[in-house]
Amino acid sequence: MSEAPILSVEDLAVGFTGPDGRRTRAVDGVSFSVAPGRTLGIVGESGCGKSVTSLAVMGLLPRTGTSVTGRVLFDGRDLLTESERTLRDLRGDRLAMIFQEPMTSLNPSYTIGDQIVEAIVRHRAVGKREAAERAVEMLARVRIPEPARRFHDYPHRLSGGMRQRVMIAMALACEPRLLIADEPTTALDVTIQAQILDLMRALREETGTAVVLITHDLGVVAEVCDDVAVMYAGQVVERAPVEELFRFPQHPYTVGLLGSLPRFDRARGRLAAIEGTVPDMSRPPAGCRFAARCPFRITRCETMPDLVEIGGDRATRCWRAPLEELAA
Amino acid sequence: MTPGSATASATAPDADAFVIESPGRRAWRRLRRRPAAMASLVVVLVIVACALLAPWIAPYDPTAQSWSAVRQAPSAAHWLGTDEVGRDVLSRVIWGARASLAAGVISVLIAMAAGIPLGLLAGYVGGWTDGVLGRVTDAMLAIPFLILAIALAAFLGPNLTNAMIAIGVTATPIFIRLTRGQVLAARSEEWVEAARAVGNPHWRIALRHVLPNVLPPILVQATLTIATAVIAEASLSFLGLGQQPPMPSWGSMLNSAQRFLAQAPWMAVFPGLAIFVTVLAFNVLGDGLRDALDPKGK
Repeated sequence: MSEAPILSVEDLAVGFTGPDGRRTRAVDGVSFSVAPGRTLGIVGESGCGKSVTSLAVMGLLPRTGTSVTGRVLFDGRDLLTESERTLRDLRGDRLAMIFQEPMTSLNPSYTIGDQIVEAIVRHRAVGKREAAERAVEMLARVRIPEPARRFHDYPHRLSGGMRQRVMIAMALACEPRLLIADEPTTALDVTIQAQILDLMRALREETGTAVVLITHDLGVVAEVCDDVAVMYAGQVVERAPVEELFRFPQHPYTVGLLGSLPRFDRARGRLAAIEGTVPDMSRPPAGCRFAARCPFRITRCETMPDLVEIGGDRATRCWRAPLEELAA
Repeated sequence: MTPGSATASATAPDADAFVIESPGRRAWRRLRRRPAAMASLVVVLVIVACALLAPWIAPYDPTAQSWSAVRQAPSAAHWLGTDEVGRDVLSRVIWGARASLAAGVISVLIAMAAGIPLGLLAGYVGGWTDGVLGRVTDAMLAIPFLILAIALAAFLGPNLTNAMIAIGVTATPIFIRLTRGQVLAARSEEWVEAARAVGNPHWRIALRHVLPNVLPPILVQATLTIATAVIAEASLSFLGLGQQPPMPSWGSMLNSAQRFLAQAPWMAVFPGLAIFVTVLAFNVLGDGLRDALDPKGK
C-alpha cells in the first residue's frame, strides 16, 4: 500500500455487557487499514465480529452496555474520541454505510427521492431543488432506469436489487471518502449480486472512495477486493492481498474456508467442512481461538499467537506459519 | 377498472406498468371497497354536518321552553316530540351533536397530543424513561375508564370543557401504550439504522422517520376512542358532570328523560338512538380503517 490510509483501525476491542451481567467480547484487538481507492474485504462467518467492527467504526453501536477501546483513525482523527455531534456530521458525508437488507433499509413512508434529498440537504448547503437534481443524477449513476420518474417512487415499488442501488446512491450522494458495505449483496440473488458488485467497483474507480466490504462470501471477496482481512471469533487471523490469500492461505481457518468453496477447476468429492463450532465469546479460550477446530494444532497453540507480519504485505495469527511446509 | 386496482392485482414483475400510489391513497382505495365502512363514514359526516349547521337546520331554539307544549308525542310540528318543559327534542338532539362530537373529538385530540409524544419518548429512549412511563400508564389503565373520567371530572368541576379534559386524560395511557409498542417495533427496523448512517440526529429520526410509520394504527385507535369518548361524555352529562343546562347534550337529555320513561319514552329514545348510531358509526369506521391500513391486506 503506497498511499497513506484513509481509515486505520488499531487494536479495536468491543465488549457487550448483557442484562444478566455477562460480558461478551465481540471484537478483540482488531487492526486493519484501507487506502483511498482500495477495497478491503473483511471475511468471516456469522458472529465473528465483522458487523460489530463496522458499526464501531461508524459509531453506531448502542452506548449502554457497550465498551469500545482502541483507535479508529479516519482522515487523521480518532473517531472513538469524537463527539456524537461530530460523528453525525461525518456520517453520510465523509463516511457512508450500506446495509445487508435492501428490503428494509429504506423508510417505507417516504419516496426514494425524498430519502436521498434528505441525506444531501443534511450535509450540503443546498436547497431542496438542487438536492433533488443531485439525487436524480445519483440515481442515474447507479444505473437506475428512468431516474426522474423513479425519484417519486416509494420503496415498496422497487425490487431488492433496485433498492440496494438506491442505498448506494444515497451513500455516495455526498462523495464519501470511505464506504462501509455490510454484506451488501447477501440478500440478493446471484445475477443481481454480480450487477451490484460491478456497480460498486465502477463507482469506486470513478470516485476514488475507499471501500470496506464485509462479507462471508469468498467469491465476492475474490471479485472486488484488493486486500482481505479474515476474522475469526472477534480477531483478525489473517491479512493479505487478495491474490496471495487465495493462492497461499497462511492461517488454518482460511485454508478451511477456501476448502469449503465449490470449485470448477478441480474434481473433488465432498466439500470440506470445518469441524466443530465457534467458541463461546463470553468465555473465550486462553490460547488460539481456532485451536479446537484446527487440524494443525500443537501444544504451543494453548498460548495466544500474535498477528505477525510474514512479509509481502501479509500477516497471520498462527504459530505454524508459513503453512506450506506442513503440506508435505 | 381503475389504475389503482390494476396495480394491486399485479404485484412486482411489470415494473414499467406502475402507477405511483401513496400509502394514503392506497388506504382510501381499499376503504372505498368496504360498504359498511363507507356507510359509517357517511353517517359520521352527516352527524358532523348536523353539529356544524345546528343553528340553521334545527327547527326550534333548543333552549326555548313552551308551557303549552310539554311532553308532546312526536307530531308534524315536533317530529321527535317535546320534553318536560316543552323544548323541541329534534332541535336538542341536533344541538346535542355539538357537545357529543366536540367532547369525542377534542378529548381524543387531547389524549393524542399527550399520549403520542410520551409513547414516542418511552419507546425510542427506553431505559428508565420507559420504565417510569410504563408504570404510570399501567396504574392509570388499572382504573376502569369511566370511573377515572368521573373522578377527574368531579375533581375539575362540572362543565363540558372539564369533561373533555377528564376524558382526554383518561384516554391518554391508551395512546402512550400503543405508540410505545409501535415505536419499539419500528426502532429495530434497519431503516432506522440507515437513517443514523446518513447522519440524522435522534430527535429527527424519532419525529421524521419513526413517527409517520407508526401513525396508521394510532389513527385507527383514535377513531375507536372517539366512540368511547362519546359514551363517556354522555355518561358524564347524564351524571351532571358534563354539559350544563339549559344547553343540550345527549347524556343530559337522557338524564332528564329517565323520570318520564313511561309517559314520554321519545324523550329518551331519540338521544339514546343518536348516541347508539354515532358510536356504532365510529366503531365500524375504525374497523374499516384498520383493514384498509393493514399493510398485509389487499
